[in-house]
Amino acid sequence: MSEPVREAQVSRPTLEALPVLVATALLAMALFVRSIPGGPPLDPSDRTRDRDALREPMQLLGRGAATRVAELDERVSLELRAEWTRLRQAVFAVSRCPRTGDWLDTVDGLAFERLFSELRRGSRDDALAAQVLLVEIARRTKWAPGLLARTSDAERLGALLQEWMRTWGSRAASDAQLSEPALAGLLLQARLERATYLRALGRDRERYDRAVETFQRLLEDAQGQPTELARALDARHPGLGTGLAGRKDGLEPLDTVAGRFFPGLNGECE
Amino acid sequence: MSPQPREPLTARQLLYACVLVALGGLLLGLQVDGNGEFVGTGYSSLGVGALVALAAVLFGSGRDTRSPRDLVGAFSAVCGFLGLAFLVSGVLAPGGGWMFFEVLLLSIALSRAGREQPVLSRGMVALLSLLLLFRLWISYQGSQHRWEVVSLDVPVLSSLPFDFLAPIQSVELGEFTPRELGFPPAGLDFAPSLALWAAGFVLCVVGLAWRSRAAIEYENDRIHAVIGELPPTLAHIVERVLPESQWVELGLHGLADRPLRKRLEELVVARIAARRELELATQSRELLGVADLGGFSGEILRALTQGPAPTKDTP
Repeated sequence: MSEPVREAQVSRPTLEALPVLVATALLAMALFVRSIPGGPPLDPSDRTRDRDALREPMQLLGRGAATRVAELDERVSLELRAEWTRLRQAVFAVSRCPRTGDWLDTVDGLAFERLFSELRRGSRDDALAAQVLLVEIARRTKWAPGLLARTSDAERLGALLQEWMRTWGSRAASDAQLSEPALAGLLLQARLERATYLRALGRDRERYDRAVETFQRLLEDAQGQPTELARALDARHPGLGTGLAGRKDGLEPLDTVAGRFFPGLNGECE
Repeated sequence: MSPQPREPLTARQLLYACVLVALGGLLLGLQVDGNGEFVGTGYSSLGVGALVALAAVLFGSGRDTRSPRDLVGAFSAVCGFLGLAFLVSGVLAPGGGWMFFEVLLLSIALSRAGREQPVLSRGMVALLSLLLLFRLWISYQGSQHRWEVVSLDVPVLSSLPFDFLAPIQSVELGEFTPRELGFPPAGLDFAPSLALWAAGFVLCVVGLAWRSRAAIEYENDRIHAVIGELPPTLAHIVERVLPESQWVELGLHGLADRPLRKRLEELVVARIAARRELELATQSRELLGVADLGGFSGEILRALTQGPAPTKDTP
């Protein structure tokens, strides 16, 4: 028997065994992986608690925020702390329901805008502090357009919230402290946007398109797929985070949920 | 460089094709959910795929008695069957009325294709690709929370800005539900799932096509080995009389050793007898029973007795 043939006969079982083993393992895996169950969607409130995260941050956006807001004093960045302490007292003392635009033009209002801009570009505690102030202003001032379609108040407030969402929207979705406030901010923004485009009959088409585009940037990636924020929203409120453009009024479902989330926060200081 | 024996090479080709099929099946069995985790596509679609593959095997090769003759051949056949099941389950709509329509379509097409070689003809691959595209499209629609194949705006009505007209402003064609799509509970991450399914589809198709070719070569090698047992001159004559390109049509593939030898004997005897008969006929005009003729008959007669007429290409 010639040498090459003998070598081939000796090595043939080994050469055949390897692909047989690999193919068998892959076939077994191909059958096994089909049984891998999918977990439920991860609700923002179910995220593993961060040791440094503030507990129940949503309480700071609710009606009883005044009872806990002082907890943020020692969390806000040192260089902003004094300004924060003064302004949060001023904001939580606003009464008699002034129009939002009017209040923002006061000394405290202008100081708030400056502080808000600094806070939203700071740490996650700063960002939460900024949102707490914004939600409280939305609660204590009047921004509902009314029959005369006076939308400038809602627009100013909405622009501030939009800045916050632009900075934190994508990052906050996976943050144990900010994920729930980010969703709440998204719902409130939908409420404010709707106030700017809804009219007694129909809606302002241009403003509506702009609002939908703003939300699409937050909720959809470049390929039209849901972002992490949209998935978090879907986990909490199924169907809300996707299909924005396909709806007749894309923001209406978000606004409806905002009504349940922020009872009484309707721009009328109720 | 030492010559490589042919048989181990074709056996390895067959097995590597099986590896491709198995890898394709693995990818087709996975999807990525909204939490970014791998989730299985379930057994129901695989079960339906296996039924379609079985129908293709049973109805497509009902008169075919070929069967694997050794472990490599048997392993390859199992991979071929599973590969077809993976492929079909990968392109089917995961559930609902669409799936049953597709099952019917594929069963008919695969059964017809199974009578010829290979099962995955170009037309069949095109059909499977179209079904995969349809599955990807409805999955995309579902990932956008649009639960219909296509939505058409009604002219004029759709441009009116009245919400109460919403139910009649568009027509939804081919509606389905999230359950029919078999989406994971956390939703489907479309982009990576698309990549998995497309790669799995390509691997399965390439693997099955390669396996089909390698299986023919592997059987040819086995028949060569049987013929090779004859003295070299005799083996050469047998291979001239029964060319390798006709072995599939002559039913030599898949025969056990003894029936294969008997079949070879029969074929050689029949073909040699036919040749002898023809040679005798061409040597005797009386046997042909015709006289010198002109025209068409004359040309045929001349070809039989003297060979083909010279052309400008022949010296």
